[in-house]
Amino acid sequence: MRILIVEDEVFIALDLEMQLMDMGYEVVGIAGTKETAIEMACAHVPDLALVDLHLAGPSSGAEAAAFMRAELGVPSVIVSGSLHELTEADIAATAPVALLGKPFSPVKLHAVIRGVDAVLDR
Amino acid sequence: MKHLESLFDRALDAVVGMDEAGLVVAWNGAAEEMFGWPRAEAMGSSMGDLIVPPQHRDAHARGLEHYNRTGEGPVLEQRVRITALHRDRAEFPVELSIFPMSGDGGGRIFYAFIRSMAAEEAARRAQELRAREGEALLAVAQKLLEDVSLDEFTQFCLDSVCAVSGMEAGHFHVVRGRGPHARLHPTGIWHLADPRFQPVVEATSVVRFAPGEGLPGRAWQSGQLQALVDLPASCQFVRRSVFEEVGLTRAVALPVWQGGDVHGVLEFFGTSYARLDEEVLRMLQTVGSQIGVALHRKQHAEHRETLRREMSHRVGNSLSVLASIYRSCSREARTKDELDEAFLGRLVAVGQANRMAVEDASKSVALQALIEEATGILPERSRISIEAPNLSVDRDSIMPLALILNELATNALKHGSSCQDSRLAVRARFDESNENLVLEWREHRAVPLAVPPPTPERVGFGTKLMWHMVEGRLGGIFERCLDEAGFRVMLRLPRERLEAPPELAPATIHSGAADG
Repeated sequence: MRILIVEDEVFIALDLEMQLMDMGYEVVGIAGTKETAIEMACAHVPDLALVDLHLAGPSSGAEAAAFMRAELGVPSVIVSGSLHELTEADIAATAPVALLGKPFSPVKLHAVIRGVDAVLDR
Repeated sequence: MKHLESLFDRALDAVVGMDEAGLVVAWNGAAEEMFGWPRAEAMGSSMGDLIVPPQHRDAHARGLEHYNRTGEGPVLEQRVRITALHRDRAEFPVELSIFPMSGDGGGRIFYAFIRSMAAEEAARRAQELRAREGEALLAVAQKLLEDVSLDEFTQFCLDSVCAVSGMEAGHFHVVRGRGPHARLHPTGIWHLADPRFQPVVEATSVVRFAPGEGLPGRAWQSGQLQALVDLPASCQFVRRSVFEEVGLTRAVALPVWQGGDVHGVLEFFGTSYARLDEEVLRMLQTVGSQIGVALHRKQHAEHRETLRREMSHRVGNSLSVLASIYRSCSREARTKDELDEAFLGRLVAVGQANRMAVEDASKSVALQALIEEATGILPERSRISIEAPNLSVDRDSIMPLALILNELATNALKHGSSCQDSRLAVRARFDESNENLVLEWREHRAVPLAVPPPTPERVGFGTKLMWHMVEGRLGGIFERCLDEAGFRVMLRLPRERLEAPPELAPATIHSGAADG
């Protein structure tokens, strides 16, 4: 499975990349903004995007996820430190295959990604 | 008869007499005072025209005619409560009793003892208003304790004030901006007693008042309640045509005070039936100022709640970052000492950068200071040269830039030990276009190597971190080269992202209602 990481916190992004690679997945890129995410998704068309809702500045992770789903058919796992702030409109637009609340343990990440992998494989 | 009249003149009640034709035949001193008509003018006039309010005149005339015809008078010799008319056309409540007597000329004369109830009525109304005022204040105080949003709370306050004062529409403006840019902005939260008043909402949504401008602006500037009993005639009321069209012709504006400043203005509108006498204004003043305090408290509470959530979010995020840094360092480290050094070094760097970016956010940070802070860990400062243009770093860029410089300095500390005499030059300048900052980090070996050093087999975490910070967070370009002469890193960073705006506006968090 080829995965795009959309996360503006560099430490977290690099750690996620390493964890996903350790799990045997390919990370096609790390994007810190909505624009970069869309650009990278168009270039690589990943199987899955791991999207943080809160990006630096005016960027919106939800908008990036909505674009990838609508234009490229790329599903997203939504990551956020404040899942309770996720609006119904956000969920409708992004239709995430899974939600991941921050902070999460490597065990939780493994479980969620493996679960998504199994669903997407079918 | 003369004897009777001199007796009437000593009575405390007004005593008036009327013949069968309805004309005044007796009028004592108390009646002169109560109705404003001197005896000389009253005598011979029509009693109905003189003191009976227009809406009761028909009944008055029919009653007199009925008695004259049948001798029956159901209202005679009873205590009757009704309103009477003063010479100045003001209606006031009275209590009276009428008794018929035979006149000197054989016909009937109707005498009435009349007592004004105006003072009692005023006292009763004042008491009632005060009770309603108390009820409204209690309701608002209770609402303040409930878990409702600022918008809902404002709405409740407006509804309450309109209910107790009989006003038809109410709205809240908030002050936004500072100093000469401060304006009153409509919140869009309204109480409307009837949907036909809707056009005033649209008319208000586009206006912004400076101090002294319009009715709200005048309430703001003066800090006092402002009342307009005739909107259509006031050239100071800019929205008058729309308000006049829907029949809202009376207005009151009340400043909301807290801590010596006006934070907003409450506005209330009524039709021509709305009573805006002293009692109502006094009540509006009391309720309005209490509500002002409550509104302000609610705003504060909401502001605190926003900060609390932001804080919790940041702490959660910091812990995630920390865990990530630890996992990344632990993956790379070969010994426990290496792990300690790498992890703690980065931890301190994140902490310092956070302090500069968040705690000292009011002061912008100079590029030179950032470089000096990072290179502070290196020994032998005499071998370090730093050159940087005068540039204030934007707070969003402080963290990535500080972490990049920390990685470079840590790296120099680790590898610089193998070549004691190396020199470090950090040079930053703007490129020809003036749109990019080019930052060059150069470690010169005192003695160049005979052969180029081998290219590292894999890219280390530090390098990856710098690369992502530069390209992902700062939108720049990262180049790195290791050769015989030493080690060199070049960063090309867009000035627009890096540089703080000329004047840092104080950070503010708007409340939901203020933005509504």
